[in-house]
Amino acid sequence: MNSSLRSGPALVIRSAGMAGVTALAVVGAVTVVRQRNRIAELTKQLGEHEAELEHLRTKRLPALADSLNGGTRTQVPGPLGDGNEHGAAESVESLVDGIEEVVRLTREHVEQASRRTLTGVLDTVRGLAAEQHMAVSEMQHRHDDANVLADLYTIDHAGSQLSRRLRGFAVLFGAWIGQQRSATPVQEILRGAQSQIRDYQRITVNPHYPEVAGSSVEELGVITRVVEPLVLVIAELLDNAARYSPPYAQVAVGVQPAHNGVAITIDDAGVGMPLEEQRRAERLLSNEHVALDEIGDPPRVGFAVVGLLAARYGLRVSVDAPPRYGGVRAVVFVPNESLTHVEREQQQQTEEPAAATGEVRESTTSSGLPKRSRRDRETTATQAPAAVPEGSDSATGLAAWQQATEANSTTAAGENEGEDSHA
Amino acid sequence: MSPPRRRDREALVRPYLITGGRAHPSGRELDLTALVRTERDTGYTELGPEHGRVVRLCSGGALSVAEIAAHLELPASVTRVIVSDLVDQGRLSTLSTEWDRHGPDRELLQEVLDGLRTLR
Repeated sequence: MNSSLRSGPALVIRSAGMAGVTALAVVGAVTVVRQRNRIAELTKQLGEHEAELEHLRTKRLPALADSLNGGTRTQVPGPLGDGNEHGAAESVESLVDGIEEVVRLTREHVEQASRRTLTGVLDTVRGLAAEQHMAVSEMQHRHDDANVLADLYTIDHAGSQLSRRLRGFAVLFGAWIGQQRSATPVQEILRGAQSQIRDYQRITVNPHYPEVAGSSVEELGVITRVVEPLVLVIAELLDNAARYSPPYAQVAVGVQPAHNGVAITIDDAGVGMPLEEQRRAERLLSNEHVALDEIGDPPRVGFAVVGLLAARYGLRVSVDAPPRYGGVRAVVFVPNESLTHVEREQQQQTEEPAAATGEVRESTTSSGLPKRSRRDRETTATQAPAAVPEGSDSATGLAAWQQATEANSTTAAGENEGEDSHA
Repeated sequence: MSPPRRRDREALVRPYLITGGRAHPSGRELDLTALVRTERDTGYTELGPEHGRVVRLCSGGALSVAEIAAHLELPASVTRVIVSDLVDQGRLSTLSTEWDRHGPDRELLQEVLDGLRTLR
């Protein structure tokens, strides 16, 4: 009895101890399994993070840098994971967004600072160039000598080109384009633009352009605000046309009535335009913003300047290589709201003073010239008779030049290489 | 002749463009006081605007080269090239031949004087 009494609890204790050990073993085993699983999971997560970071380092960041630095064709790849539950992809994604934002802000800051500096430098240079050009103009009036005039022509021509270049850079830097002129006849704008390019003698401005209906003393003009921008647009396109066509070929400029405005056409007899170049032109012509690092080295700013001005002043510009004949045709569309009537100076002969009659005529200006004035009437360029039909002389002439061009195309292209091509 | 007034801005169409880069007159050197008048007042299409304007200016009567320059607001040397072109083309004629034959008459001098006075 006693023994049984004594042995009972011991047995209980022993068996309980066994159970405890077993339970402990079970618990331990479960814990080990759990820990193993956790380790495996953490290892997997770590692997995902590492893979994601490696992908970020080797693929995504280089692509991002390239795209932020103007690489237009670069597609930045997405994360490896597709929103897996451990968030490796998400955390890396927010990191990428952060980097992108910082780089973008930095670039904007640098761009603005550069523009400010360049505009400041440009203003100084423009001031000096304008002063010099004005002095040359005055000298041409002061000296009545053909030999002196010949020398002054050279300086004047260089000065005109310089001022055009400077105005182009001003447009790129977002600065003011320059002086404002009064409303000006289209023909004067075309000849003004012609004055500002190197090969001005190779440009033929077609004298037939839309007349303002029902008036012999007025002609088609452009409103004050658009005069200088349009001169610069035409000058850049003329310069481009002359540079990319044979040195003996003419560049033909015409004006045609168009729907709700007029179209100024510029045809060269060059070798056309490679597709790559045409795409570049299209891109630049439709741009409303040009970053400084897009200008390139050596700078090719022609199309960029034209595109910015077109966007800013409501002009439409297209450049293409029509299959009709070789070469390139640029078209500048000027809408009716930018057109106006200006008095035709040459038509005032009936009022001019004639020395033979000894009359002293009432003149409208101190020099006896009739004042040019702008009429605030709506222009109806669309009513004007068509002036330059398709396939007119200029096209025929271009076809002839084109034939002559084919033999010289390689030479001409070679000659233009290494020049500061300006498109 | 009074010195030309200072223009407040650059002319858009430059002198070298107007004369096609030529600084020397194609024909005989014309004096500033040389009088020219229009002979043939037709067919402007092949003329540049400034050439056309000179033809019209001189169709009302003879003008001196100096007067033409003032009306066009162009340098005298540039105007000489334009006038010389037109004389060569037979569109303008100089009165100097009559001058050579008869010497200056009072009427002609009066015309020149009147013309110059209108420039002031």
